Order: sequence, then structure tokens, then C-alpha cells
Amino acid sequence: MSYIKLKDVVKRYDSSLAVDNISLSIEKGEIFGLLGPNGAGKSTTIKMIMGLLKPNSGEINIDGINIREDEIAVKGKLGLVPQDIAIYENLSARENVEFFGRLYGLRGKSLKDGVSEALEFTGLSEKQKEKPKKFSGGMKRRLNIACAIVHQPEIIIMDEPTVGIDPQSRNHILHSVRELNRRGSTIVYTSHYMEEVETVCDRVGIIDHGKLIACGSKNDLKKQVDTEEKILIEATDIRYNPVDEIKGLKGVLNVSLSENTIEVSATRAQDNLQDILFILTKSGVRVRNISLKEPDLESVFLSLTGRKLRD
Amino acid sequence: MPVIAIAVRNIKTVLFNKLLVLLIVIMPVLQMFIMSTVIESAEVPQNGTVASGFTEIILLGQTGGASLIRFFAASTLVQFLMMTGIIAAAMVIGEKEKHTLARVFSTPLKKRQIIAGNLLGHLVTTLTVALAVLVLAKLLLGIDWGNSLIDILVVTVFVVCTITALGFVFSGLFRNMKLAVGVMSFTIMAMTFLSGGFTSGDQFSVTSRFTLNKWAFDAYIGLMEGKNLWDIKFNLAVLAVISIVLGIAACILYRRENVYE
Repeated sequence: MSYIKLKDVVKRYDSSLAVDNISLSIEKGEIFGLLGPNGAGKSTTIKMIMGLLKPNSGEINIDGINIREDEIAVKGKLGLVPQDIAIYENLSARENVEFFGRLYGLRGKSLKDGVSEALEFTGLSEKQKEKPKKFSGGMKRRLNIACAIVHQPEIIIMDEPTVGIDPQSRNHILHSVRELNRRGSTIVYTSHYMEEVETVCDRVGIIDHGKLIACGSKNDLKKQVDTEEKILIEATDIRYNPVDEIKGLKGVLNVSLSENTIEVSATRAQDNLQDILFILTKSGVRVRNISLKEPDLESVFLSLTGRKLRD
Repeated sequence: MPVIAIAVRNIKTVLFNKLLVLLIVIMPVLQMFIMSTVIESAEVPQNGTVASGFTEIILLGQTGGASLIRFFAASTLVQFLMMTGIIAAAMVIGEKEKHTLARVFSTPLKKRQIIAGNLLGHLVTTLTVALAVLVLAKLLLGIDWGNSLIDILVVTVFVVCTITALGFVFSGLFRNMKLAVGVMSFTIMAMTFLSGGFTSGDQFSVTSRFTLNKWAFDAYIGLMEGKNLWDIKFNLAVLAVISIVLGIAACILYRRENVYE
């Protein structure tokens, strides 16, 4: 049985359909990436999982508990790292974490230990007595995480946790995501940074126009779309133009030649590699270097959601 | 206790802010001090003419300086308690703007616990401010709040409950703090005007019945003039009804699904 399960979930705002029959399963111990353009329905989906919004229809089950039936029990299992930094500027870092710890029912030694551990984990122990108004953007983001993990939640929902921070803080946060997962938390991670999702997540779901349009491992997603692979060939002694001959090969979409580099775009470039090398060798071209560029998550994302600008 | 944690955080936010404390505790006392100094320094005209530099105040002075000081002390107290209500409401709206309220709503608490925590915090804050003003005015300026400390506390609790409920209605209505503070300030000014707080005549005797100020002010003045709680029971009943009506309105507003936004 899936740990987080959404079944035919629908959410309407007045006349607009924000989430349109989404069904989704996330397994225990996974890092699941949720991608989508602005306004696609990601935040609404997350708010419904968090119990902040009620679906108009459909079911959400967390660890076998229906969120409609026992919202409080579900919320106790979750920790939210919101997209916007949600901390109290007039409280110190420690007081912030303590406050949220208390709201999750921690008291006494468990509260004290939980707060110390969360601050230690996010690298804020030395700054625990300072107020966040003096913090850098990265430190505020880390405090935002500390407030979400003080109660050691089974599920952590991270909504774009690395927006607007320096590479060091981003690296620290990404490392934290993996470490939290290693310690047993299931993580739902949304981001606009494709390389982050590609690096961190085990599986990815792509939402657009309120629908889940693709879901699976990164390799599964790449197989679902006809994305281009590219072969870059550096060569010397290019005495004749091999473009037309290579273009004639099955599956080749485009060939270009600039100075000493031939660029071939193909649906399954690896299958064409042998033939391309044969053509080049027979015409006396000396190949110095070959590199294969596979499609990344960004190209898959753009292929599925289109390149048209969104509002 | 999560409810207490929310209440304590609210109380800290206001009472640990030196500027706010200055505004809501020191300012009313200072205002009372200035008014009492002016009133006490004014000579009662011997020949029935108005002393130079004074107009209405001296004429009202015919009823006695002590009653004038009471009048200003009571109206100043009500005015600043209402300001504290604005600040409490603005704090909740500020939490919406800073997304901390949404985060609080994502914790395993029932909505009524979150509301109770906020209300408790605001009640204690406003009550603390009221007590501080009452005590400081009594000790520093010698203002006589009446014969019974218990009676004045009971009235203060009624007034604070009404103002807190009013603040909660506003915090449920608005998402933008600047807009909310503007509208709330206007509402308080309008109520003060309609209650006759800016004038000395009886021309607002009808409209004043529809303002919170009149019932709160009359209750304080009644006690200061030697009445007891039984004598001002009607004022207390009206304040209680206003509190309940505003409380129900706030509960309806807070039933909205995305009230944290």
C-alpha cells in the first residue's frame, strides 16, 4: 500500500479547476519531486496533502489514514517547509523552533532535544540566540527547515526550499534533504531548479493545467517523450560536407557543421553512432572526440509542458 | 499546551516591543497628564467670562475640574484600548502576510485551538495594557477610578472582550495590513465622533448608542462617579451583547477554508 496516495482529487476555485482528477502514489522512504509551471496546481496539491485545503472530491490517504477523517493525525506526521520563509522575526532562532515544536506537542526534554538537534542539523546552533532579522537569506531558509523538522516528521514537504540563496546554502540544503531521507523521512520536493530535482529525487511527477501529465523515475520520463539526443563530433580533415549523407540516416533529425564540429540530433543517437562513424571514416575525416548528450529533465519538462510562456 | 504557546507568543510580540508599549501605555498616561495639568491650571472665571486662551474647556469647568479630568481619563483609556485592539488585529493580518499563520494552520491543531490561542493572547495583552494605564494614572496623576478596584476590573474585562472581538472581526476580513489598519483607524475615529467624543454637546445622543465607545465610556464614568456594578448593568449588558455578536461574526469569518491567507 502506498504511503501517500491521492485518488481522483479535484479542487475548484469558483469557476476555475485548479486540480483536475489527480491520482498519485508516493512510497515510504522516497524522495518524490513535484514539478510544474507556475499556476499548474502544485501548491494547491501540496496544500491539500497538508490539510490546508479540502478537496472538492477524491481521496487523500497518508499512511492509510484518510485526511478527511482524521486531519489532525495526518498533520502530526507531516513537516512543512513552505516556499515563503515563515518564521517570526521578533523571536530568536531557538524560540522560533521551540514555538513550532510546542505546536507539534513536544514538551520538556523531548522539546529541548528536538530543538537542539534541528538547529544543529541546519547549522544554526551558534546563531540560536540571534533574531532572524540579522540572518542572511540562506540562514533564514535553514531556519525555515529547522522549524519543520523539530518534531522529526515521517513526511517532509519541501516547497521550493532553495529559492534565492547562495550556492553554499543550496548545497547544504540539498545535502540535508538526502540526510533527512537517509534518516527515514519520506520527502515531497518541489522546485523550479530541474538540476536539483534530477539530483535529489528518486521519482518525479509533472503537473500541468491541474493534471498529472507524467510520473515515474527520471529514466521512465525520458522514455515517455521523444526528446532529442545529441552527438557532438570534433574532427579534422573535413574535406567534404557529410551533412546530407548523415541526414539520410533513419532517426536523424538534424545535422549541422561548424568549423571542426559536427552536431547530430537524433531520437536514438546511440543507434546511429556506428553509421555516422562509418560515413566519416570512409570520407577520410579524422575523428578526434565524440560526446553524447542525453536529454535532461529540463528538456523532458519543456517537451511535456511546452515552451510557451506562462503567466 | 499549544494554545498557551500561541497566546504567549502573541503577548511577547506586543509587550516586548518597546515602541508599542510606549504608544499604548505611556502615551495615554501622558495624554491624561497633559489634560489634567491644563484643567487644573485653568482658573475658574469669577465674573462668568471666559479666561484668555480657553474656550469650551473653561465653560465645562463650571461642572468642576475633577469631573473634566475623569471625562478625559475615561475617554483616553477607551481610545487607547481600541488602539490596542487595532494592533492585535494587525498582528494577525501581519501573520497572514508573513505566511506564519498558514504554517501554524499546517500543524496538528484544531482551528478553534489556534483561534483560542490568539484570542487569549490578545485578551491578556489588552488587559495588561488597561491595568498598566489604570495603575499608572492612579499613582502618577492621582486619577480616581472609583470606589472599587474589582468593579473597575470587571468593566475593563467587558471592554477588553468587546475590543478583542472587534479586532478579530477585522483580522478575519482583511489580508492586507495597511488597508486593515487604515479601515480600523477610520472606524475608531468614526465611532469616537458618533459617540460625541469630539464635542461637548448632546447632539450625538442618538448616534452614540450605536458605538462601542459610549457604552464603555459611560461604564467607566459611572464607576468614577461613585456608582456600582449594579447601577451600570445596562452598559455591561450592551457590551456583552456587542462582544457576542462580534464574536459570532468573527467565528463565521474564520470558518473560511483559506482564512490563513
